[in-house]
Amino acid sequence: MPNPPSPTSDENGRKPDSGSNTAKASGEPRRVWVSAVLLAALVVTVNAWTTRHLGWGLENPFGITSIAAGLGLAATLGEKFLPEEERGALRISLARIPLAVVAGLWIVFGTIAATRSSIVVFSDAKESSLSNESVILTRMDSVNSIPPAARSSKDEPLRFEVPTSPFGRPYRLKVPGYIEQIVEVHPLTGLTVLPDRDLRVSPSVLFRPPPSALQELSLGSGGKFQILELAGKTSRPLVVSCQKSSFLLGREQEIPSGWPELWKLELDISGVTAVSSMTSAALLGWHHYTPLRPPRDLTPDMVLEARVISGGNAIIARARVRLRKDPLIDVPLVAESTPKALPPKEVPSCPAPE
Amino acid sequence: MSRARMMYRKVLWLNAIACCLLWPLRLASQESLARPVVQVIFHVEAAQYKAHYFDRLDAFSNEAAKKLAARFRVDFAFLDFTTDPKPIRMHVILANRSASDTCMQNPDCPKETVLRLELEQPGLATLPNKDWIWGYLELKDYAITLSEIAADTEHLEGLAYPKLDTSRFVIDLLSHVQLAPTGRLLWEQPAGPPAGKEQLAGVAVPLPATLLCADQHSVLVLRSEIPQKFTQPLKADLAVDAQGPFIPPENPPEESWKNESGNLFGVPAAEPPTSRKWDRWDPMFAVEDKKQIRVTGVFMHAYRKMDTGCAAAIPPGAAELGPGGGQ
Repeated sequence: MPNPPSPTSDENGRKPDSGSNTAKASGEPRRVWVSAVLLAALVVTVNAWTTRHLGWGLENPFGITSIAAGLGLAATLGEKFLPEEERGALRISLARIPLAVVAGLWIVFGTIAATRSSIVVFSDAKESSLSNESVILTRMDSVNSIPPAARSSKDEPLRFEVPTSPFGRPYRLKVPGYIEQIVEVHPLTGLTVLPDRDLRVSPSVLFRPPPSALQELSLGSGGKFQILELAGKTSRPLVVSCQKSSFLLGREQEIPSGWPELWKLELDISGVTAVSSMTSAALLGWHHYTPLRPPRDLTPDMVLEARVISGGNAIIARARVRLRKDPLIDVPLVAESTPKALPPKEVPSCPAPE
Repeated sequence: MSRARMMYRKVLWLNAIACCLLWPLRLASQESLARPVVQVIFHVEAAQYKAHYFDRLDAFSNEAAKKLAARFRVDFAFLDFTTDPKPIRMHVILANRSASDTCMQNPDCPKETVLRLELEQPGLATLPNKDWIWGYLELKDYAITLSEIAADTEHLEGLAYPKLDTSRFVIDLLSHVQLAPTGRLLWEQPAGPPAGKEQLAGVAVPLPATLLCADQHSVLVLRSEIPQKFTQPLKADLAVDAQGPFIPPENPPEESWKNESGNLFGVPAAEPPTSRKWDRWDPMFAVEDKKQIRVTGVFMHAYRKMDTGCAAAIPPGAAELGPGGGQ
């Protein structure tokens, strides 16, 4: 009498390997889960990366995490409540994405993320917006500047998509009103620049003509104030003004409160305080400076010469200064005991009133 | 009729030619009557002016000199003032003044602005205004705003000129300019018997009073050499009170007195001003032979301009008088 087939044997009479089947059955959902998690993580990470470095992606990284979590929850619920066939079909579709592919996607993303990064430059709180041309980013080994990515509006920060390396790469960054600075761009994190927080402001100079020269700058006297940039033996005129005041070249800023006291001492030494009206006129003239914008930002080591030219075309006061990194320096001009002649072709003319 | 007209024309032509030929002579005669001419030269030493007018300093100086020369010409009419080159020069120097050398070197240090004067004459030492100041701007006005030449010279003239101490200006500087190289001592016999020593009626300066425009109370210096018995002639600076234009008496002691008509006449000063040391007249009066006395120069010591104006005070009958009678 033959043995009845065991309920667990298959049609060919092979006895199913219950242990390996169980392992298969429990291994497949795990692989699916790993793939799903890796994929979800990849999507979230890529989205975060593109949002950070390229400026586009799903707006809310938290949202995409929620979607991924929701999908996971749906799968769990499906496993519990859906019939076996439907679940199998579903499992097959996820299981069809091999883990190797997911890993490969991660590797591709990792490679891109390790070699591409971005610098995002926000506008200064005082400045309205940054223009594309004003911010200059250059590689250390090249003079060519890297153009910023296109913006939908001027109010958006400027974004530079730059190559980098896993250990970071240096770049030169120049933002208007700030000293050119070397910045290190690392992968993944990139670099966010808030100029007034991260950059050193370009130096400004307060040029103070002496009382005798201030007088020459009075309306009708015909005096002129001029600043030149000296480079070796050549000089380049930067700005001219004909106001009776001191002159602030560079970023407009507050005069330190201690300075007027020092100015008073200065006037005392030169005997000006003997005449109170002269003292007051000088102090007021120095305090209410005329802001002057240089054609380009001032940088450390720049050598400037300021001079006051009389109505008779003589240099009656001058000062020369080499700029340092100090944000504001006070440069008093010294009156010439013997005025120096200025060739007529070098005599500047007053700028037209605005 | 036509011949007469032709003759008339010829006469007119001859007259015109004669006039032209005589013109240089007339000029020469006028020149001999002319007042000494002083060239006014303006210099700038004041720091703020030098700095402001740097390349226009000459133009500023010339304009200032012209303005001052014009004022001097009116107020010190016994001399002529010009800006044209002349041997006698009055240097007016716009300068700063401070007690401290450090302050003087510092263009910012407030200083007074003054006008210094220097008289330069050929062969003589330059005379400065040593112990008095012609002030212009006070310390508090040091920071003056300089603009254009016309405005600034006008300011200078308007503010500085009234501050000039005119009497010191004349005494210390202009009194050293010789008005005339000689003067005529007019001697006369005392009226009535007995005939004694000649008395000095006065001194006639060989220049018309109207030209010098000197009124009474002007004081002249008569520089003279009085012969001495045993020594060199005595050099004396004698004070003469100006009296105005000379009007010769009807019967003058000498006919030549009439030649002095209209010329500035003066008499020995009874109370000479104390602003300088004077020599006494007595040695001159004691000289026997008055012709031995030499007048070597006449100078103005204190000047009073004719109240009536220089042109108005022409003495009666001046037009028909000799060379001293007209301007």
